Amino acid sequence: MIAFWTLLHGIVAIGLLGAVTHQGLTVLRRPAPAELFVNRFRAIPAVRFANSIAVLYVLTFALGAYIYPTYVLDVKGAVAEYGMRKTIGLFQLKEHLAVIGLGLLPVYWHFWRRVCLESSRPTRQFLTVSLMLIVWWNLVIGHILNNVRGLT
Amino acid sequence: MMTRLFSARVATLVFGVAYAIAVYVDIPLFRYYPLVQRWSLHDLATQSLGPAMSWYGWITTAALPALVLAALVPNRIGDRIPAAVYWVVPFVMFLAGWYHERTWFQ
Repeated sequence: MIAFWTLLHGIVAIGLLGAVTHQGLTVLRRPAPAELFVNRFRAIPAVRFANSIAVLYVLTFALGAYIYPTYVLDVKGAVAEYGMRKTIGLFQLKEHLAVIGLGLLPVYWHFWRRVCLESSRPTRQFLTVSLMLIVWWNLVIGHILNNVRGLT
Repeated sequence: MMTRLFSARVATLVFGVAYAIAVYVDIPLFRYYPLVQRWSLHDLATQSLGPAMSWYGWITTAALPALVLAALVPNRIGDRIPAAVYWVVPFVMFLAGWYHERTWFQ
């Protein structure tokens, strides 16, 4: 059953990754005709993604929190026995980064949905790109650790 | 209605500072022992109970004051918190986390 929850955690995380990458690259884009693929990828109405990102983030976080004890029992000890302490350290940082993202969500949503889009643009960019980097880091590190020793 | 009763700026600021303190000083509200599926307000520090998890406790330690203050502080006051503060909050939280996990990298 834990494999199902881990898989679901990964699938929802990939959905979140797609949404937050769209939005993150859009806020970094200078207004210009979207001719190339990269520019078309970034030429989306970013504000519409804020609600979805907030919901997907909380869902991904909750699923991760649910499977975390199994990781501590089945994976962390085994990886420590392999002598891969830095790998554990990277995963531990992932857990802190996940909480940082969770903590930023209220103000991220506030700056997208309650503050005029013409003001506080740098802060909105910073919060969105921070969230994007956190999601990328967490997905990559989670994937690497799952390859080292997966939950079964 | 929801946003009138909840100051997002206060929530993030208080949560970030409280989490950083909780992790740096290591004061989780409670610990979880997954091997025996037991929650405890105290550090039981017994090997037979297996590893202790402080993560849920840190989050709760930070979330409680954040939710209470976000509900109590009016938005007109919360909205006066400068946006620049939110450039600092994630770094402070990360530094506390890094400090706590530094032994894995030594």
